[in-house]
Amino acid sequence: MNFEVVIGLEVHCELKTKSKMFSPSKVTFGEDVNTMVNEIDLGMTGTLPVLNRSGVEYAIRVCHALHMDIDELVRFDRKNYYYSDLPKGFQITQDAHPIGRNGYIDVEVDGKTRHVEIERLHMEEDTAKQLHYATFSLIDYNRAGIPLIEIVTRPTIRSGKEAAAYLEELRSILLYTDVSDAKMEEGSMRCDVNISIRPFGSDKFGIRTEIKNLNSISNVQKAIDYEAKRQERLLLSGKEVLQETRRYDEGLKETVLMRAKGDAVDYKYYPEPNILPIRLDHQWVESIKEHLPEMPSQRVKKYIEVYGIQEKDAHILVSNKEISDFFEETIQLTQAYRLVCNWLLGDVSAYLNKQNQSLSETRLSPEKLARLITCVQEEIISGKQAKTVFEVMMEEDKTPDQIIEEKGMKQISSKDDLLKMFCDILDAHPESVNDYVAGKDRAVKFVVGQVMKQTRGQANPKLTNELLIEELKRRCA
Amino acid sequence: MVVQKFKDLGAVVEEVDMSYDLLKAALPTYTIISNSEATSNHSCLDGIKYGLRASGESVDDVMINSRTEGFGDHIKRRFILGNLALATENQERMFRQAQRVRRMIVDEMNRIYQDYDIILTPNGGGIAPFVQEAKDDDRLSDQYLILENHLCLGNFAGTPSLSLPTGFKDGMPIAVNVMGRIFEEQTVLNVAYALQESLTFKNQYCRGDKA
Repeated sequence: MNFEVVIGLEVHCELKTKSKMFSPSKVTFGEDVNTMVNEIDLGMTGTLPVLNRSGVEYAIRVCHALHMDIDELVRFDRKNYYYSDLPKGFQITQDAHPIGRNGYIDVEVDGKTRHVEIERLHMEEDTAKQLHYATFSLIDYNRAGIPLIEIVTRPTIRSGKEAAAYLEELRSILLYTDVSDAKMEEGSMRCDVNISIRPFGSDKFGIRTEIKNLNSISNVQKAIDYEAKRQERLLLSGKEVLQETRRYDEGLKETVLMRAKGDAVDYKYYPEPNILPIRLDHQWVESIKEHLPEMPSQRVKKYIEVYGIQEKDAHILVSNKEISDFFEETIQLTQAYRLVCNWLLGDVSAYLNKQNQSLSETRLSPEKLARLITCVQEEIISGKQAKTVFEVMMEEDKTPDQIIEEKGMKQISSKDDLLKMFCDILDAHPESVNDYVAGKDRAVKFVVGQVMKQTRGQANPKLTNELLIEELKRRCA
Repeated sequence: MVVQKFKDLGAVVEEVDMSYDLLKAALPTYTIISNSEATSNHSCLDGIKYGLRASGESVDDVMINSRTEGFGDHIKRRFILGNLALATENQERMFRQAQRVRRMIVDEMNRIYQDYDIILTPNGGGIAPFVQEAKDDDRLSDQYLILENHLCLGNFAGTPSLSLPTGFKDGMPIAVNVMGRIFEEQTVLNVAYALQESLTFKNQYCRGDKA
């Protein structure tokens, strides 16, 4: 019996607006507990919510990037339930009228294009954060009220791999629209999975389980792969899949029961009476679309078609927005586009991985990288020397020129100087000429080596080779 | 008497009809909407963040116990009513229906406001009854439904509404209600002020046996 895996994903994303969704408290990360909080966030009686325009704007940006229909009448609802991290005893959300509907993202999976349908995108507010200890729990309200958008796909995803590809692309869009840091490890992007299986060809849905508290895209993929197998095993052994909420245990590499299907809570959704429906200006909504920053797929196309970057490299460049932005700035200063790309994907990325840093934490700037590349192109230094300069550039504020100067690295490219050096060496080692006549490679290599030794690596290698061979020929003649 | 005072002051005062059915529906509409909203408006009082906190074995128990101890019977009754009206299986025919009737009532008020600046009514049905008498009120009578509870119209429409004592009957104070269009607080205040200055009962009160 062949089973098809049916997956739907719900992603919550924190927006990096200056203030919260319904109060003027600051949106921050990592501040001292309960310092970014006011009476509205604490749900004190008599407080009123006021909608944050930026929150709406950011939500609309994402709706446009996901090709969604936008409901220009903004309406909010109350979702009523009791929990210790919910200050008001209800959450202000958009149940009946999400701001975005019917969107999609196309993703590449194993060389094929998969069309992931997105059912809805709506705005809501985040809850407080709880820290659980053995005999007590603590609550930090800094997070309470931070704007969230919730993005829900239709159950059209068919594998863990496809889910991961979707999340990577969605994350990229959230970064490129500049609405969120979208870091799963920090909680600014959270993903819940709904998964069921059914025999191939069936159009009825099987019983689905929910997997929550996933803290990375790779864990989403692993959890899906495990859960699909677990459900298959159950069904093949004649058992039923139970409707449950599960979590993924990284150590065990399994999904684990969190809670069984209890009595469903009645959220008693009804329109939020303190926020009247708001009719958005159509021009404003359209202008957000016009001013949308360049999206990842547009950049890939541009890099390939305009800058001659290889397709594979273009995708890698774009996948890290910081590096892609750096690339964009650097190519304003030099036309060696592929060289810039190679440096960024090669030495720069290797350095960042080794030091576990982001680009902004280094001393590298587009000006410095462009200058370094130019120095090599103009043969001021060799490619090998450039690597040394690079290491210093990453850590110190010095420009390439300053470093070259300080280390006395300027390539010796003066023909006269080089020629004199050859003559001295060849005079001292006449057997090299004989070796050269005899066709032995090592003759050339030996002399070049001597030159490099004498100049501490600063002889222009290309020139050295050319001139040497000329000189040797001359001596042979 | 008040009507005459207004005419003397130069106002045009006319009797106007308002839908009897809508007026009778005002109290049930108000009861459902206000109790429903109150239910969720007071969900923040859970003993976690501030206010009374009762002890409990679990977080749920702390919340349940705090609310049980902290609210009186009358409030609890209102919450139960609100929850009933908002429960998914009831919401359409109770809460949403009340919201629709509210809209009809407000439309009716706005119809009157097309021709008039102020709606003037007696504040209540008469003088305050003795506690024992109040218990015998027929809660379905016009007297009760309309005369005693029509002030909620201001809540529905968000219209500025002002009650002003105008004198005494049988030694007990009586009042009128002056209600204007939404956002026209100034008109309501001006009208009430003019009436107050034309009477002599400012700052007076009276305690005494019923004559």
